[in-house]
Amino acid sequence: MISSVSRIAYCASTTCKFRKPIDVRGLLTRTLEELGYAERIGLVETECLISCHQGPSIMFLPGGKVFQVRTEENFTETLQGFFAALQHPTSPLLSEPRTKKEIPGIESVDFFAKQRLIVLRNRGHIDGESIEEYIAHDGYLGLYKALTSLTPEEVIGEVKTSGLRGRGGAGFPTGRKWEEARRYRAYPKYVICNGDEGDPGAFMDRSVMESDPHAVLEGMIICGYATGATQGYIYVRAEYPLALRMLRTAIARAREKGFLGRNILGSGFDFDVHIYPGAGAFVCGESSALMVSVEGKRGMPRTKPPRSTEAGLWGRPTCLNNVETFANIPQIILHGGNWFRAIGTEDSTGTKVFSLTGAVKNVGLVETPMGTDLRTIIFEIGGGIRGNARFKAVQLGGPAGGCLTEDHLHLPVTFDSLQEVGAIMGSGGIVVMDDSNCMVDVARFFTQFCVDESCGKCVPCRVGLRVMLGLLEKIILGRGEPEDLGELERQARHIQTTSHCGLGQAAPNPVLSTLRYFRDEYEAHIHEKRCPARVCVDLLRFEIDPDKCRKCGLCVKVCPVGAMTWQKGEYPVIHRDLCIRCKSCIRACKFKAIN
Amino acid sequence: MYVKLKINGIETTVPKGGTILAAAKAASVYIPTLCHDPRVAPTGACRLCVVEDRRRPGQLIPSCFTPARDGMDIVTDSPVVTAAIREQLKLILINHPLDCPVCDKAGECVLQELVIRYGIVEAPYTLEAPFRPVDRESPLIERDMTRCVLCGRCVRICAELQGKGELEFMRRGYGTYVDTDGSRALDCDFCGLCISACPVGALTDKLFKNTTRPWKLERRETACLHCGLDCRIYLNMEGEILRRVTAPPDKDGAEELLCVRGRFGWRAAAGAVRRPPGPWLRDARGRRDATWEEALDFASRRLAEIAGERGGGAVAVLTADLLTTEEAAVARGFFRTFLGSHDIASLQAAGYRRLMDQLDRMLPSPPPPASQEDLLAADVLLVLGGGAAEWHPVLKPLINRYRQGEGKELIVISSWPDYLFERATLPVAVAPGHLEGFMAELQAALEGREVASGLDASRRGIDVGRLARLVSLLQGQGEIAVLVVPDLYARGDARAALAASLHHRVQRILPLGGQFNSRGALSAGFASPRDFQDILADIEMGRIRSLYLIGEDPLEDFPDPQRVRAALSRLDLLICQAPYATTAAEAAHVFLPTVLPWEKEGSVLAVTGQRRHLRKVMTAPPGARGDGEILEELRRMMGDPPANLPGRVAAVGETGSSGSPAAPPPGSPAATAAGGRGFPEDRTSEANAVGAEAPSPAFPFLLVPVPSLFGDGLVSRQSPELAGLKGGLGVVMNNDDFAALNLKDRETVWVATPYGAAPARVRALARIRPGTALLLHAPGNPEGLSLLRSDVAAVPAAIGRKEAP
Ligand SMILES: Cc1cc2nc3c(=O)[nH]c(=O)nc-3n(C[C@H](O)[C@H](O)[C@H](O)COP(=O)(O)O)c2cc1C
Ligand code: SF4
Ligand code: SF4
Ligand code: SF4
Ligand code: FES
Repeated sequence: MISSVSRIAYCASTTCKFRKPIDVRGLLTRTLEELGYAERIGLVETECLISCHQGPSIMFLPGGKVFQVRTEENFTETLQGFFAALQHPTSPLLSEPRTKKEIPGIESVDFFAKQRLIVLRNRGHIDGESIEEYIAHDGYLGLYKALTSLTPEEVIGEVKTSGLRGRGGAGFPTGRKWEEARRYRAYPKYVICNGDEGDPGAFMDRSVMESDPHAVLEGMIICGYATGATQGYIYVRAEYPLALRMLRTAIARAREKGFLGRNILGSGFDFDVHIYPGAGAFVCGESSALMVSVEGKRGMPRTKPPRSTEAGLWGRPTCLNNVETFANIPQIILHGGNWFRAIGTEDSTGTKVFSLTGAVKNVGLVETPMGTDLRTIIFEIGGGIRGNARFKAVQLGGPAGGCLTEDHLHLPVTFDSLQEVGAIMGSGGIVVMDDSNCMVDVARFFTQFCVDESCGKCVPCRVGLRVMLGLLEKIILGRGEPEDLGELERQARHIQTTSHCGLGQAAPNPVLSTLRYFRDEYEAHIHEKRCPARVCVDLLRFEIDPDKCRKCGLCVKVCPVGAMTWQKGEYPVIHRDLCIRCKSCIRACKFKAIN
Repeated sequence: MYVKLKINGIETTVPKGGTILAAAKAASVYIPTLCHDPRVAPTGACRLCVVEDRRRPGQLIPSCFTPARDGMDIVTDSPVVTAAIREQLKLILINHPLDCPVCDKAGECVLQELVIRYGIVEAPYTLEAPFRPVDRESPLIERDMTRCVLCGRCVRICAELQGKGELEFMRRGYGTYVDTDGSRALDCDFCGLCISACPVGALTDKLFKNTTRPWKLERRETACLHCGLDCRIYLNMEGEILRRVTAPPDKDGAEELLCVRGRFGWRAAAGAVRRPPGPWLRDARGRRDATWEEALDFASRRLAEIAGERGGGAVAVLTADLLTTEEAAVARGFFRTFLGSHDIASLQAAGYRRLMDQLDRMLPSPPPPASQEDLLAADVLLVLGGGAAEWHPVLKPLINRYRQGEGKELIVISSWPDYLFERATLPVAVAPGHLEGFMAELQAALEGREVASGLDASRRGIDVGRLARLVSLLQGQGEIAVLVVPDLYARGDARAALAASLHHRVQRILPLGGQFNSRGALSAGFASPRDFQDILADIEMGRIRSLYLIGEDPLEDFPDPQRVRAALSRLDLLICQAPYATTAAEAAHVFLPTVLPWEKEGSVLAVTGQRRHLRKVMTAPPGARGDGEILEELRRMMGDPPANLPGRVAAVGETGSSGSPAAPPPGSPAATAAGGRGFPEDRTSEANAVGAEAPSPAFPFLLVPVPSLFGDGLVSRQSPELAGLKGGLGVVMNNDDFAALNLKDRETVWVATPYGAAPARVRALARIRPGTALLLHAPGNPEGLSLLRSDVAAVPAAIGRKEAP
């Protein structure tokens, strides 16, 4: 029978739904019902089980065999086939009933084999809404240990030993932050969890909050104990309704079980947590702007000193950390700082969760030990470039990160390793780009993001970035002049050195790094009025290159306005007066024969 | 603790925590700033104040908020720094209109100065102009956001100091601008602090607009006329024409605090319409213009006759406290000593004078001065009564500054949610009409005396928990300052008594509600313990036959104008000596136009106890004379003191109302004693009710007259700007009451009391006790005054759409 399967975890992430709009939950419920297993097999909603590129996955528990749901057709038979196969525990290899393709255990695929899960350890294995399951997986054991056998100083000591650095981007040593917050004697003190996660395309924190909310809570409670705080806030992006729901449930359950509230676990320590749905601006993720926003004011970074650990939220000592930072804490307390520091590198200990997106085969969340090199992440875990395109660049660290090239793939990713080459690890966004990307356009895209998201407070970020954007637009429109590159560089340095917060200081990175590694592309735009990646529409001539054209006529079929004509065996003709410059033909041509 | 550092090679020190900018200032080194305003928290927006530390070249440090540290080696003019500043200015200039020739700020614009200093001649960038609102609708303040450099000084000063938060940043990034919520016209306190903060021509004074250019102005320092809190101001004069009022620089070089009256109420003095060109007389044939000789001759003859016939006690004086201290001494000599009058009172400063008199009698020594700085130094500020910041609006920013201090307590005991009450760390709400009773009980309780009914908090509508905290704060360690606030018309003595009873625990006691030189007049002894309530009764009984008004108008400044008018008509002689011809001037037998304080020289004693010598800063209108000069002339013309005339003794005996001892001879120590101590112990009004009549089904509300931010005094009322902001009689109700009556914001309703009815504009406020309504702007409004009675803190009232019964 199917006694070996007790539950099926299914991926409910937006990314997957976007790829294949299948209602997996409905499908599973119906099928299990049909097969009469509904009573015996539970469903667990979870986040991102494996690479998202093929659509929603399901995982059989225990065991962790993963299967991707590609179609709703014949799903009953498919599932039955699985159950049959799963009955033979001796057989290490399972195959997909229809295609006979081998079904891997979750840890045996490349995507997972190179990963090391600390933060994401519970993802998919437990039901995030069930505190019992969390407890069954060592949940709240770290808290218990801290409250019953460690002094606050010892907790801080353990965190310091672990070498844990903030996962929100800046990499500030967490233990030192806690120590500072402990030192100031003004009450009440606060703990804030930064779940604003504003980087486009990043969803590390969301995933943790949705799949393992108790780990975040536990980290915060331990932080409260260590710093002497009694009140916590979780600032969650309002666009994360599922995370909000999971956290609300988790808080309610934790209160019921006595992990939150008065006299936690009989220790005399009081702590409670409230949720604050974010204001929606990217800059509200900056710690001081976040606190101002919680106070109900417009989120703009404030001046320091004083540091938040001295006078943060409502002028009280406040310890603010990122979601992932907190999620590491229970494990560190449980297994000790030395266990943690053995993972990763000397300066960057532990693991880091990345959200790998762009042109790789396996997009999704990746957790690797710090110091894993880019090639491993992109080519082994990510499975390399999708389609027949070539790797061109990788952009790291969110919208204000830098773009690196093939030459940098050997570099280990840590907090400090990429600085020299003009990039940052940041909060863990990795966007892989293939050769269909124009780096000038990429720089323009990220600059536009920062222009829109600048809080508008300080002159260099508010106006200077807009000036840079103007120059990039000018280049893209084919009106670039040779001086513009120097001007871009000069303005970028000015913004870097005189902006108030991290947004402005880092916003020029995409431009500076592309100018450094892809200067020839800029020059082609300016001197030859040509976009080598054939992205910038205003620089395209819409001409057939007779050397490359194989006269296949594919381009003619895709033209939505009928602006192309073609006779078999002839070169196609583009009628400029009809062409709307939509680039359909350029995308369609396999031989890159249209300029 | 000091830190030592070098700025451009100059060794300097600043107190620990001081910024690099402060250190540079100490070393007399210039650093450009635009968003820095020492009055508010730093923001770091303009990034012009960047400097370099030689030890870390290339790193630019914003100096306006970065603390100076030991060993820093700061350069402010390295090529890197200068290039950054120039770049910043170029960025700021993008889309800043280059229309300095028509900008009112030109000549005192910080941006203009910086552009010249750094020689920015080119404007190399062009970008599309973002949306920026322009507001020409708001009264008094013009907002042209196309000129705004987004320094945020206005936003911060309005929120942090004025506590209003009227202005806020809108949108983000390049599209950011400053506006009101909903992009409406300003509906605020009109303190103008935002104008004083704006470094460019984005926020400007509409009264000043297009009148002249700043460099033509000469700044003459004087004191504001609108209340007695000692705000220094600069009259900005173009020749002899007053163009605008600004505040002088404070110790950090920013403008001192000022309120709407000080900044915008100056047309009460310059070009006010009700200032007549010369004296006039009125007799059976009517009113006719007179020469000064005729008018003074008439006045002196009649005064001599009446005083001669009935004694000096038949002459009463009302003073608005616009006299200099020297003039007050002259006036005291004339009325008390020479004429033998013993009724010297004030209408506008009645509450203040009464508090001072009380404290004088109860304290071992007169209340010591309590400057604005002294108040900031206290740990606990106890405010007895509502309306402190409405009487003296500069208390708003001042108290907000106080509240920024660590661990500061603000206790406000009030029967209505006035400005300070809403910001108190410990607000104690007392039902209207119960304030005096509560204060008396509290005093008894604090003194450990048994209170008849116990400190019956619940009866007076008080939260018992707050009461306990109040008592513990008053018995705690911190330095305590007490502000004693009078009601607009009611005469209550319990709050002064409470303040006095705390004197051994309290460092400062500051009675409020004083007019321009009320304290100076008291110090000169130009006062009596009787107030107009007593005088009015004596006029009605025929004991007082002549009323001498010095800047006061009982028809405009006392409840129940019908009664006052009837009483005035019984007088044998009504002399009106005033800068303005107000209602009473028309009824007077003699009108003598006077100059305003800015038009004469003399000293002034603010309610804070600060003494100031004021120069003459404006030319007087040709027909007007100084008050002291007039009184001296009268005395000269009258020759012998009427006291020497027969019949005076009998007259005093006849009035018999006071039993006051004869005034001390001029020059005797008692006559010159500071603080006007040694008043006769006559308190006819001790038993006066200060409660409230109970509401009834016909009059379900309790109407509490409260002071107005825009000035209730006679001077303030002459300002067309302040009058415009008031917009006539106003009534403020509780939100739910307002909703129950289905009213609209600012619609005109009828307010009726057992005594009268008047139309008023209505607004709603959440924190008002249900059933209570506040009456605003009654002074100067006959209909409004007719609703009230002088001896109660609140009257029953009906409010509704239809005309009242
Ligand atoms: C513009 C800007 C946006 C930021 N957004 C985030 C964010 O979304 N989430 C986050 O955790 N940290 C964000 N940060 C970093 C925070 O300011 C802060 O350093 C971090 O949350 C501290 O937590 P950690 O020490 O655990 O990393 C942002 C910083 C800047 C300058
Ligand atoms: S750098 Fe940009 S986001 Fe940061 S404070 Fe300045 S304007 Fe705001
Ligand atoms: S006038 Fe005063 S209250 Fe009004 S917006 Fe300006 S600062 Fe604020
Ligand atoms: S209006 Fe003036 S004070 Fe306000 S932000 Fe703009 S420039 Fe600054
Ligand atoms: S004055 Fe320092 S940033 Fe503006």
